[in-house]
Amino acid sequence: MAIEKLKRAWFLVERGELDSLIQALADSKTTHVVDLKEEPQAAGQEEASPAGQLFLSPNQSSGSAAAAEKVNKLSRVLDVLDAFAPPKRRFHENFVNLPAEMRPEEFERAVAEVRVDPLYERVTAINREHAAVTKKADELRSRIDQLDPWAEAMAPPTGLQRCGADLGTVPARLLPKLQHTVGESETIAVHVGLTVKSATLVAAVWLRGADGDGDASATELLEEHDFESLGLEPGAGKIADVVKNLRAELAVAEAQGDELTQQAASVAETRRAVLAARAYWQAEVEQGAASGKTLASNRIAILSGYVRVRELKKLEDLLSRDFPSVSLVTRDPQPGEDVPVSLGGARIFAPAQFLTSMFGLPSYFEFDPSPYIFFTFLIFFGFCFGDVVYGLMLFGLGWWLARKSRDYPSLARFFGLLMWGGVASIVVGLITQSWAADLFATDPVSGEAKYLGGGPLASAFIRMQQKLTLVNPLKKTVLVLGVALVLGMFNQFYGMMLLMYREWRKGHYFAAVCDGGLWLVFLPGLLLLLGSAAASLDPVWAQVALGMVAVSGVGLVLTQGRREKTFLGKAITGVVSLYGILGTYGTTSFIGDILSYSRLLALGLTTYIIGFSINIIAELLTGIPWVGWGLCVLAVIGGHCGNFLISILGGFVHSARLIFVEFFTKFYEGSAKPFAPLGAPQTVRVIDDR
Amino acid sequence: MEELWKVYFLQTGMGWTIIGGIAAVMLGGIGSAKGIRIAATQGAGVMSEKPELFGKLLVLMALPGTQGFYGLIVAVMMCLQTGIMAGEVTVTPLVGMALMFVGVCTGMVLWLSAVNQGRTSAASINLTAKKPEESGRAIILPALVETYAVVALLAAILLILWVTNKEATFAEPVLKMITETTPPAG
Repeated sequence: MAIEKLKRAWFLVERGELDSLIQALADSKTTHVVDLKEEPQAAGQEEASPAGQLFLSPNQSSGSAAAAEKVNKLSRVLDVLDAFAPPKRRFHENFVNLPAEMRPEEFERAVAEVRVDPLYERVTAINREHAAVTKKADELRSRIDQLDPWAEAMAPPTGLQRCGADLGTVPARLLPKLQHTVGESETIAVHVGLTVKSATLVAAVWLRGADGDGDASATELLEEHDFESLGLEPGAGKIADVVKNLRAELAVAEAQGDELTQQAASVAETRRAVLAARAYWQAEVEQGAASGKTLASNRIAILSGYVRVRELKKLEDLLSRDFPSVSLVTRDPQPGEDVPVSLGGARIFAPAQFLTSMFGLPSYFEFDPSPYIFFTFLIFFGFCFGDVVYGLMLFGLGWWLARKSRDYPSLARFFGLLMWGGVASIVVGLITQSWAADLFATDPVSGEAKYLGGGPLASAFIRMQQKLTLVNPLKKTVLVLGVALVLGMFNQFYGMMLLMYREWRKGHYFAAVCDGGLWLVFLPGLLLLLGSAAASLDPVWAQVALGMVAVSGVGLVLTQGRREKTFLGKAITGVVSLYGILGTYGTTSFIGDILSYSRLLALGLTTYIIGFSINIIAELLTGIPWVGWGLCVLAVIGGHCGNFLISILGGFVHSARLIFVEFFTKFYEGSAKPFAPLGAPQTVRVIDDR
Repeated sequence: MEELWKVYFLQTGMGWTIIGGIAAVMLGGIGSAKGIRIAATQGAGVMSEKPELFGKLLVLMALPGTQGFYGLIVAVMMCLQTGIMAGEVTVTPLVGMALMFVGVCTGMVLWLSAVNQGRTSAASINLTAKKPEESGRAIILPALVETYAVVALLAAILLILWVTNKEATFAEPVLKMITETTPPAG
């Protein structure tokens, strides 16, 4: 398990051959192209870099803008189609996004047939019209809801010259006030109708006056009492008729919406073709971008990138066969370069690479932490999800999904991790006697099987269970909590050892001793000191512990501030480092990290207790006549499947967290970018059996 | 009701202990749920644009869930140390009241730290969205907030152990002080 060896490569190519070379590199999927214009030409690098020796002007990418526009349009088309007709997914696709798979013939046909602009126009027109129709239908529904309660009322009449009239509602609580105000006015009158849901229907009539100022004063008076006009046209007749017309309009709008949805669904039948076309144009964009990353003069261009050492021969063969005029220059990556990272190595540890990738890839010049976290992750996961039956289910599910996704390495790693997590769960389940919680456990009074069993087979099974059981977390909770914390403590020491290893590999021997070694003496010494005081150990142990703490403590105070510039800075950092805010580690950080491992007990208990409750509920259901046993079986299967899914999530996330937060922070910084060869599949995978 | 009060709160401290345990679980759980909501809402927004970041955001969204587990640990410790779990209650009312305060105060720290951790996680999710390669460092920021939930858990565990230590005489001096300072009736 390691970081794959790469070579930095420069391709010197005639300007006219550049596009063909990029196409060939994309087809071969061997080269991670870097942008030469973004690379600083540091002093002293000119000799190493051919680009530095040739002061070439930047080359402009060609055609990629048009391709990018096509990609955007096709992405928009797919978004609209997904909204109207969501794609059907296979079972495992509900958990992960997989690229669409197609044969070369289908891919080529799709690329040839999809006309991007007409398709985009059609789909956006459907979407636009659908949005307009939906908006209209929403407005009609809202208007119907507003008028429907007052169906028996009439709209104001037409032909009023000297009077104004309106029909609307006021809050019932304000009605007496309105009536009182109107009673004192000589120019306005109201007629009160029904009250529905605290709103009262009110018909208002007022005199307009010679200059029409009666309209303004009537409107003002009504608004003061929260009058809301129903907005009916004079002479519109009975409100029931208005509502009837609105319903007819709504039916038309809904039919139009359905028709547009049908049209979109028929376009959605070509979704695979659209996906293929988008993948094709995406590749064009990438190739255009690769062209833009070169340096070129009128006659010659330089393309640069990284190539896996194991694929270098393949690349050299390709160049000598198809591009004899291209010169390839390679060398090892140099410190200071932003080298992409590709993880490879032994398959057994490959599942742990999923975790490493989740956190961030290691620097090319560091080491891959995957093998070092594989077993600890499994132990943590087993603690959180320890159950024999659940473990078997997880092993089976992980194995099946890993097989289904074996062509997608990152997914296969994830499912492989789940599969091995299943094994860890089985082991922990065996030693904690958890078989679908206590479904196969014995009754403490009778010694017989609690739920299932009777007979010689069950007795043999119970004996086997009891032989394998080491501890019951429900009965020995403090012991298991202690085991979790001790596990955490050793994992922290393990992290510090890896810090030492990292520094040692780099040749930083002093840092390895000061930043790792001294803590590995100080912290155990501190624990021994506390332990000898609490457990009244032989005084010799206290002396030894005191010596360890004193020597390493002085060492830490003297060395943890060594990177500070001033004496005061060095002294303060050195002293405070023992506490834990400054420096590489600290006592409080150590205690906090260890206590965080108590979640292993909490998650393990949660998994067990939920299963335990499901079994009790299922047993209670057996008392129901006729259907009791059926319901019991359903409760057991459904309940345990639910617990299985929820507990996997909790177990995975919190085990990963213990690795990322408590462990990786000691020695690991994952911030490298992944090795992404030009032309690597993204949204579509073309399967070519030829 | 009066009998219940007598059995659970006057003759033994079982009622007080259970209130403390429930408070720790409840407040820690509410805080975790709220913190995860804050982080997950932010995460959902980022994933609507960049679904490929799900793996990197998952742990960030789950970080504030820790406090709920710490609450559970506190409750389990209380029930264990007082004999509630084994069905042999050994806790006196005074010790029970002390445990209740431990549970309530720990629960409050757990609640507030979970909510604040959720906010910090949301900020880290933004950082990860802009610079996915910095996701490793982004995890550290909300983990700093959790330090104080850990401190509360540690304090709670130690207090539970000290208060329920049968060899120690935690309650006796207090009882003695109360009896000595209380004036005789009449």
